[in-house]
Amino acid sequence: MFRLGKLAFLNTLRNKRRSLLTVIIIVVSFIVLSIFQGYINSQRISWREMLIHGEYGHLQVFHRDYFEDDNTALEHVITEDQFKTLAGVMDKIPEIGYYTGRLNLSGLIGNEYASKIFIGSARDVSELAELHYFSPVKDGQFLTEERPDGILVGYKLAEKLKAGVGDEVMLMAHSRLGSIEAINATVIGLLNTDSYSVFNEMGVYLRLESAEELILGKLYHYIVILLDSYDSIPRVKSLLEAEIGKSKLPLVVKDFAEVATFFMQVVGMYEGYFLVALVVLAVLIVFSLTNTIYMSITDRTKEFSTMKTLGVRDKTVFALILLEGTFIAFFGVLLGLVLAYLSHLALNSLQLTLPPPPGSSDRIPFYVLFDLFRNLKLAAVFILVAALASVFPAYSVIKRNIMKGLHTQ
Amino acid sequence: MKIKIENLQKSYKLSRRVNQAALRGITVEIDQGEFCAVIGPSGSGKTTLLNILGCIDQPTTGRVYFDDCEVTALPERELVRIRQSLIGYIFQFFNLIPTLTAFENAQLPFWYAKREERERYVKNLDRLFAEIGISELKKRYPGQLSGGQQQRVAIARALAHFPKLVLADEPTGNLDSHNTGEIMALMKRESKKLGASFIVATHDLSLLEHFDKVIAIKDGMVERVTLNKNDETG
Ligand SMILES: Nc1ncnc2c1ncn2[C@@H]1O[C@H](COP(=O)(O)OP(=O)(O)OP(=O)(O)O)[C@@H](O)[C@H]1O
Ligand SMILES: [Mg+2]
Repeated sequence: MFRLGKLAFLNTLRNKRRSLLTVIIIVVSFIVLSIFQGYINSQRISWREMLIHGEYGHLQVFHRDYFEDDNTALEHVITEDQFKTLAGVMDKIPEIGYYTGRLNLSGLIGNEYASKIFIGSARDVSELAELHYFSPVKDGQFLTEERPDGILVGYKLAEKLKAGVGDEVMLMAHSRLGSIEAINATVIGLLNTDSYSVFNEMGVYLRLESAEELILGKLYHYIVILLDSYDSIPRVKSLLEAEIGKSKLPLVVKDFAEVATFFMQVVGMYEGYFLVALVVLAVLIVFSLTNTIYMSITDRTKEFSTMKTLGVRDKTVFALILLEGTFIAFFGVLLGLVLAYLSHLALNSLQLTLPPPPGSSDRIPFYVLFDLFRNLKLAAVFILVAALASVFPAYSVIKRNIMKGLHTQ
Repeated sequence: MKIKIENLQKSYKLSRRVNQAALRGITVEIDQGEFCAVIGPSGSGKTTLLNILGCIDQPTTGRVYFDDCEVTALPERELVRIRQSLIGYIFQFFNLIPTLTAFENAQLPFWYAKREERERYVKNLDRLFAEIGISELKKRYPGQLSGGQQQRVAIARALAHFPKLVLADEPTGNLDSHNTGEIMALMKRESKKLGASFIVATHDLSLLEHFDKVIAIKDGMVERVTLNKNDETG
């Protein structure tokens, strides 16, 4: 086999200019795709981390029937006891850095001007320090111990109520017992949540303690958990699931990807674009490589006839041509990998920025993230494509009349 | 191996209406170890005959037997095996692969033979290279060899796997007279040593004294067969 490899290798060097042209096409395509991939990668990870550290956490724990309900119903919730049991487990898992419970509720918010339906998210004040990546606070401040009656109101909802920071409102909601409860609250901040605009229209953030006064109990709809890193998700998830099973808690653990479905959709869309680019360039490579190999085998008609006359089998000739195509791709990909890596470094050192997205004034830093595993996968695809591109010419050689060119100089 | 050729005909289709007859019924026998020439003017059908005997071309009608085996009835898969094991081929233009060294070129016919077999063939090649006087050229590439040297490598290549039949199409057609004489002597010596039948196509009539048998063909037919019984030394 190694001699066939050597022969294929030497054959690719026979017409260096021709091979080089194909190698260049492969290298350039590889760099383009690698950088595209690096950009998607950087976006995916930075956005993912923003969402995890701004709202979602790495893991969330729900009552197992939570998703069958209206998500503000008080039926399928996590009880205080269940929360404590789980907290005992979570405190012993070193990868868990922070966890907090949240409760959804809905009801009426009103003052002397108007009365409106609100959807509320009851949160612990500690979230400000831990889930701080982007602040939904447009005006005023986040929930705080200092203002036990403080709430945040969606800025559009506030407009309807003609309420601003410092104004008093009343919240009304059904308690878990069925009664209607009301509390007085003070608006200490206005919310502006870009990704979830319904909260601008109807949203209220309130402290868990305030929610307890409304629903007359200590309940949670879900627990948000922050880990030391994204990579710890599978381990911690299975640990928690094991403990939940052991303690027979009616809970389920969901990871970020399961909860942030819209994020996964956007990632999927970018990966679709990438696939299209990959296919386009793959077609280019197939044409170029097939052409190179066709020219090369046409020059070598006599050589293949000689080999076959001497009893070299068709499959050996086939393998030889396939190897030649694969070698060219291999050089290209190897060079492509190195140059793509260097291009990543160079691009990042330029510290480029992209224009700000609508509604923002900050330009987005442009950077690319080189993921070795993804690049090796890309390299494997390239080599596979090259092997496929060599199949047609190789086949044409073994089908060719053996006497062609045999007795010519 | 005895070779029997029976009423061999071959015509090429030039167009839908026009056929070109290259062989028009050749019947001839070649004995085991016979050193044999095929002569005839250009276009008489020498190459066509050798190609059919070399199992790289099929006749239109007629049969070729290697001993009792009718090779003209075999499928391509079997023909490859016959080419590999029974036949050696020497070309006018040497046909060495430019990217392989002389010694690698000579190993081409048995690249994929089993290990023990290969070792036997390589040993034979070592002997042939030494006897032919090209041992120092093993590592050279064809481009670094003269025509005579290339043809010597090609002869070693044709003989390495102990073929029963060696076909040579104008093997000296591209060589000077000095090299021609040496190559002819060399082929005859190896023919006797290996017991292999040689069929050499040539139109160099000065070479005929070397051969045991001379088959003269003309217009695709055997014109006459001459035996040189008295020439025993080569
Ligand atoms: N592939 C082909 N297609 C059509 N006709 C062919 C083909 N090959 C050979 N011929 C014809 O068959 C006849 C015999 O050709 P062949 O090559 O066997 O002659 P030859 O004796 O080897 O001649 P030379 O001494 O010039 O090599 C010639 O008339 C030739 O034109
Ligand atoms: Mg000829």
